[in-house]
Amino acid sequence: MITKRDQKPDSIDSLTDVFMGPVSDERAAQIPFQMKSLALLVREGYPLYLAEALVRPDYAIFKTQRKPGGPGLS
Amino acid sequence: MTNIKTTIDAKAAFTLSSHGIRPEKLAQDLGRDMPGALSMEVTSPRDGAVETLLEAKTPSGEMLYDWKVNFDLATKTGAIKNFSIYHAANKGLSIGTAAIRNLLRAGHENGDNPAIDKIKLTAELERGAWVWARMGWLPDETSFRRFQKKVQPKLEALEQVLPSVERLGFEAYAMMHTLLDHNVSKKPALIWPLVDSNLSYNINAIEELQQIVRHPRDDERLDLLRGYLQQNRPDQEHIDAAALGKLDKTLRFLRDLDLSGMARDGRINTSLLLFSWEQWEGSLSFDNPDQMNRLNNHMSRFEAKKPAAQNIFIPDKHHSGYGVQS
Repeated sequence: MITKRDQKPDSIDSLTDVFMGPVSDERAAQIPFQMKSLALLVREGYPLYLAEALVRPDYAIFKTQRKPGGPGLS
Repeated sequence: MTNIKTTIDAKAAFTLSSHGIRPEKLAQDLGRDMPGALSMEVTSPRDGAVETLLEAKTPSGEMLYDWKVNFDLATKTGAIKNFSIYHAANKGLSIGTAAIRNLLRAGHENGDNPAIDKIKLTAELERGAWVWARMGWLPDETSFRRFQKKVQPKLEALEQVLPSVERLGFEAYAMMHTLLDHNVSKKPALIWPLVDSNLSYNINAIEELQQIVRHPRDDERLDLLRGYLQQNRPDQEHIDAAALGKLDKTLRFLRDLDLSGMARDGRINTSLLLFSWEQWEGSLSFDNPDQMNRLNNHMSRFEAKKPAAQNIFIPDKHHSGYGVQS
C-alpha cells in the first residue's frame, strides 16, 4: 500500500521519510486519508504517538517511539 | 441530454458568451443526471458575474431541492450559495456528488481556459462543517480560527462530564484538543485529521446527557447535571456554581441534535458530533493537488457503483494520476 511499508519505521524521522519521500501520484491516490492525515501531523511536528491516537485509534502497525513535546503538548 | 427548462436573461447570456461559454451547455452540465423535474434560471447580478439557480420538483410540483451557484468569471471563482442537499437526502435522494461533479465539469468547459478555478462556500447546518472538509474543502485561516474557538469548548465540556469509561484516551484527547487550539494549530489543513479521525463516543452516554440539557427549567437542569457528575465523575464532584453554569451552557449544543441519524453501530463520531451546526467559510482550489486528491477519492468511492461515465471530470494538466477513475 505504501512505499517502504515493509521497513516498519520506528521513529518520526523515518516515518516522515516514508510519507514525504518520492511517492508517485498514482501511489499517493491509494493511501487512505487517515494515513495522509497522519503524515500531515507528523510533518507539522506533532508527536507521532499522539497523531496515531487521533487518526488511527483502531489499529497501530507502526512501532512508535514516544517523544513528549511538539507543538503545545510538552 | 437532460431535459431542463432554462431561463436566461440577456445580460447573463452576454456575460457568458463574452467568456466563451454557451449558456445552454452550462445549464446542461449543471443539471446532468440530477433527479427530478429540473428548471434553471440564469441571471447576471453584476458585470462579470452569473448566478445559476437549479430547482428540482416532483411531477406534482413539490420542491425536491435547489442548487444555486454564483460564477464570478472575472476572478474565476465559483461560489455555492445554496444547496439543499439535506432536504433531498431526507427524500431519499443522494445528489451531492453528482452536483459537485457537474459544477466541476461546467467550470472547466473551456479546457485550457476554465471559467472557474476555485469553488467557495460556507460549510454550515447539521453536517456541512464536517462533510465539506471530508470532501476536500478547507476553511480560510480566519474562519478556521473562529471555528476552532467555538468547537474546542464543546470537546472540553464533554470530556469534563462524560463517565471515565466513555471519555477519549488521554493521547487522543490531547491531539484533538491541540488541533482545536487556534494558538497552536493554525493551518486550515489541520481540519482534515479531525474529520478523518475514527474517535467516537457511545451514543447512550451522549443521549443521557442530551436528556439532561433538554430539561426546560434552569434550576432543575443544573441539579440534574450536578447529580450526573456526582454519579459519574467523582473528580468533578465539587464543581462550583459558576463552572457548572458554564458547563450547562456549553452542553446546550446537544439539545437539538438528531443523534440517531448520526450514530453508527451505537457510536457517534466525535468530530461529527462537535462539528454539527458549526460553520466555516472556505474554498476548494483546483490547483491544490491535496484538495483535488481528496475530492477525487471521495467522488470515486461514492460513484464506484455507478457507470464510469458518471465519474468526476478533473483536467489532466492539474491532477494527472490523482485518483480519477477511468
